[in-house]
Amino acid sequence: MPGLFTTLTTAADAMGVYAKALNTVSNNVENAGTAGYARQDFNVVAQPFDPSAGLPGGIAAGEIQNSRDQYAEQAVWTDQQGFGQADQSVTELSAIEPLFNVTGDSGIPQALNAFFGSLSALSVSPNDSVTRNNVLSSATQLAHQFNSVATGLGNASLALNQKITSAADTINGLTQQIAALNGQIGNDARTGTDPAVDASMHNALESLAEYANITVLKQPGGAVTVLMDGQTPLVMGNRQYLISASGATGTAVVKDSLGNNVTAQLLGGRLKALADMKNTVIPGYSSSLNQLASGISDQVNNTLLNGVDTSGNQGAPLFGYNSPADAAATMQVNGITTDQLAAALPGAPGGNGNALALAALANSPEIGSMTFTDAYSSLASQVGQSLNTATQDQTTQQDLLDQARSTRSDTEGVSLDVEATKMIEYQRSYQATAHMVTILNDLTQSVMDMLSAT
Amino acid sequence: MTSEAALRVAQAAAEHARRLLLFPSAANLDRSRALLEQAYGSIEALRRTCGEAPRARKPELRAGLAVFDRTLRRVAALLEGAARFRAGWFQALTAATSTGYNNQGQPSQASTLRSLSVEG
Repeated sequence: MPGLFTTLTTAADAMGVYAKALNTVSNNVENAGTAGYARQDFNVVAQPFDPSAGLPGGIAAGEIQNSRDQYAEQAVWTDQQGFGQADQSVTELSAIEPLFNVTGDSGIPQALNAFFGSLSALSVSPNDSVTRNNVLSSATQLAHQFNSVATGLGNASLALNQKITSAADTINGLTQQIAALNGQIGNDARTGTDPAVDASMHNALESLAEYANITVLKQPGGAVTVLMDGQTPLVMGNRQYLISASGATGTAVVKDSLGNNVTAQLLGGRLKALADMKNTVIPGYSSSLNQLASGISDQVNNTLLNGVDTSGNQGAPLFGYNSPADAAATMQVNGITTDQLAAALPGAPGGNGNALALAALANSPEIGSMTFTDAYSSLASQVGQSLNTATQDQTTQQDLLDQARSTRSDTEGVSLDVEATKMIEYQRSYQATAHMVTILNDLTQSVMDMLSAT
Repeated sequence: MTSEAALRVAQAAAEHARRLLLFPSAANLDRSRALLEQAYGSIEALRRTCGEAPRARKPELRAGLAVFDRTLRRVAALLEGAARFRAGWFQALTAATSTGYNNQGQPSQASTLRSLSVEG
């Protein structure tokens, strides 16, 4: 994570800029009692203009306190959305990871070892019927293992359909609550300052943020406009805009209230994690698995076709599958007899020439520059690494969410001039700590290198 | 101090710093820095002694150091999260105390210059 350590310094610089800006504001406050000084009127304020962040600009009536509170709330929602996405990814990857055994004691790696072991034995005893039978049974076992993992991935993908629909239902349920609260505020302006309504509103928004990236624009009076991913309306006034989501066609599709496909615009939350898993992660693993299954089948079959069986006839293909796109799920052993296994070469019937070529497939680079076993290990470690990364993200996001909640509490009800002073102090502390983290990281990496080298 | 003990001290200090940064006040930042300095001292001690550690113990030390590294990354993430929050918050504050747009389309700063003329 070198980027993180690099950004620490950048963040410190940014804080410095804002600290200076606020120092100016602080001066204004400090000079409030100075003769001739005209105190700022804060009743009319300019709003930040940044469409990409969902900030529409414009002039609005507002109070400093409200702006600050809204920013602190948005920070919690942002981290809530990051946590929801990471947490959902961990849940889904945890269900997939056990399919990819890496120990060699079971699953595909064990079946691969057994299959190539049987081919090696065939090269030693090419005419032994027990040895020939072992080749067929280990090939059957290998095909079954590929079928099993492909079925597991397919089931995981199917299970996502229900989860995706359920996530959209949860979002719709929460936006219904928010629209109803907006309606109450619209009917009676005093409701906007009712603590109970405010608490219900913020609870609903915080729950919503776990499922989707939301931008909340607070209206005068306390009602809110809620956008998903900065552009898809979810709530405007007392009107709710329903979204829909489905994975039934094999791909996760999220649609807005007008039926437009907004899947590609998803920025975060549980819904994005589910859509990514359905549309990108599982198809990626399936594709690698299919490549491996078809690669083994094709190479073994091609080698067998170069040899002759015990009767001197051209060898028969051992494996079959429907198409490269579903090779792992449909891989099977053709109905050939032990005598039809082509262990010999055409020029030397009864010999082991072709069996040696078959056994050699175990150690030759057949999938890119990797052997079959290496290609499987690479896929399995990719799955494990993804889960490991997602778990670390989940831990980090939980930390950040806890921090955002504590910071939100910390920033309530403080005065501007005090804050301006604290900011400068904060920036100094931040810079020193960030520097310490950076040099400690460098030292840790250097000790790790030392321990790895010796 | 043995390598294992140095690692334990460093890990405990980093974990304490992480917990403090969940509440990132300036005081907690300073306390975190002090703890990270303590961790630095321990890792530096580890660096000096790890060359002498028996080969058999090195995987264990590497694993321990990996745990420390993960904690340090969590500390870094929290520190960055705090900075991001403060920077954005300061921006929101300055925007809230400004009175219009400048010629770059950004909210302008509050002006301290005002004049008042009274006639009559």
